Amino acid sequence: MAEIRNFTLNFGPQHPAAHGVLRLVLEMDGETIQKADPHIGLLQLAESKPFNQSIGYMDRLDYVSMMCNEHAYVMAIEKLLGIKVPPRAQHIRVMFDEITRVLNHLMWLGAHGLDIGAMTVFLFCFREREDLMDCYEAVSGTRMHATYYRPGGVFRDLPDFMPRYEASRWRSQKDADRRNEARSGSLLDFIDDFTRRFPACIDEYETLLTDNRIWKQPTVHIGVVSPARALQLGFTGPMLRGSGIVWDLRKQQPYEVYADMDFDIPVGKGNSPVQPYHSAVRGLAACQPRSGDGRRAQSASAKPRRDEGRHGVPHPSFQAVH
Amino acid sequence: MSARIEALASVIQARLGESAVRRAAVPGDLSFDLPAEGMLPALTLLRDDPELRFEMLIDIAGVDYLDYGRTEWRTTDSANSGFGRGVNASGQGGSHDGPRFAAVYQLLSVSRNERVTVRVFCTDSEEPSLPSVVDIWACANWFEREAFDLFGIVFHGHPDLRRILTDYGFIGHPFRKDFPLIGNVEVRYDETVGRVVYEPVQLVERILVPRVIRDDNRYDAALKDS
Repeated sequence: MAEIRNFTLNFGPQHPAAHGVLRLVLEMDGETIQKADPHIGLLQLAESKPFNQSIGYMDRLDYVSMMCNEHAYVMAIEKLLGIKVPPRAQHIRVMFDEITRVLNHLMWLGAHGLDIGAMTVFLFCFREREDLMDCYEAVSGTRMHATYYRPGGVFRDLPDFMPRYEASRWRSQKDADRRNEARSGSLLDFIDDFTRRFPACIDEYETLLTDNRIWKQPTVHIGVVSPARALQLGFTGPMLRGSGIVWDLRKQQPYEVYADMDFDIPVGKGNSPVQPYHSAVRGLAACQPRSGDGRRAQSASAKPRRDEGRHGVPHPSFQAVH
Repeated sequence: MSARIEALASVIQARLGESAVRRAAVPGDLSFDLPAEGMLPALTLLRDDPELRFEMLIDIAGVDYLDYGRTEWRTTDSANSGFGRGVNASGQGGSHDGPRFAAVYQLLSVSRNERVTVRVFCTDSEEPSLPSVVDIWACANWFEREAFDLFGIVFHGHPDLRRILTDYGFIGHPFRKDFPLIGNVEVRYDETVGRVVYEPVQLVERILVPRVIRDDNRYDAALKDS
């Protein structure tokens, strides 16, 4: 009789599915994880630096929610120093928080699909991520580690133009022009256009996953977490809502201008582990512009409007990106 | 907002008695000091009392008060001499009275939408220890491992108190104020031995001179022309 032993597997940090954020030493019995030993990296340099020199580290704590981490950090400094942030900066921050949130959801949705065997959803998600990364690039010059938020506001005002594609040996002038169409206005025009395009993209993700039995087989009724257990384990966000607990910091303890914003929070119905997926995807679906603002009829490729938000009046697309 | 905080503060004070001491906090925050002995029943009360119900533990942070109140960023003097940070272990002592180590618990009540911060000092500064709260909030497991790893606070009753962030066989606790920023050992792959070796750290202290001119003659009234 052959002796059957558990298999110890080193997972990450370079493993493509660990995405560089952690290393796990896993004890496997077939495909079932018996034991996981986590190893997490950490930066401790912030301790010896003045406050505003550490903002850049916050991007690197979690490279899929860069600006949200910055936001928490600069808000803590503002709270300590009693700094009041001008409304325009608050709106810019909330807008980029939401862009980051969508980026984050697209990252997990695509990568999770890939991990579980669905290639296309990854490509689709990263197609939209690319557009949002361009927004990062437009305001901060970098695509990931932005260091855009500062105590008291942001690094600089929103730009009037978007970075554009150039024709090259690999990209025809026609293709570049097609991609640049949405980029021909200001950043806000681009975001406005994105919020119009995005609902159709969500339908594409849902077509690929929601009723796909290959995807449902390893997710539905697996890893069920009861509400009491979710609280014990300190779940937050879609994980907590997936367990059926109504909790969203943007609603319960609104910071910045979230109190003035009109958006819905989807909550899971029960204990199903796919509930985090559903609540997050419906959260994405809430990105579409508010109905009845009369602007939907406009073609996405209409002539770029001047950025009305530049003179203190928030551009309507501020509300659109929930 | 503040009325709500005051109401919550009086409820907590009434439940925990005089052992809980309210601390100064920024507006909108509520913070208490608890003694280490008897902290488990007090924290359980915070979780279970129908008027409190702090069901969730958001974070546990260790604190080292060794250098409390001492700044290492005084550029007025260093404009003449330069300064270097993080290389020499500090540990010169600050203005803090009392035990050196503390753990800070951030609690959240999802049902009542309230937050409270609880600080507990470790009575023994040489071998700091506290009772573990894993049985009250399961997520304390990793938080306590982190505080143990970085500050050396031992949590009694923890099911699996090992280092979580630093390397296997690591010596010292990196977030202690007397631990140098550049560490004590460095790691490299040795071709001759054919494995990774640890050596004493070789970095030389870098002296920085801030390029800020604080007493500029151009702005000195006595030296001004005309």
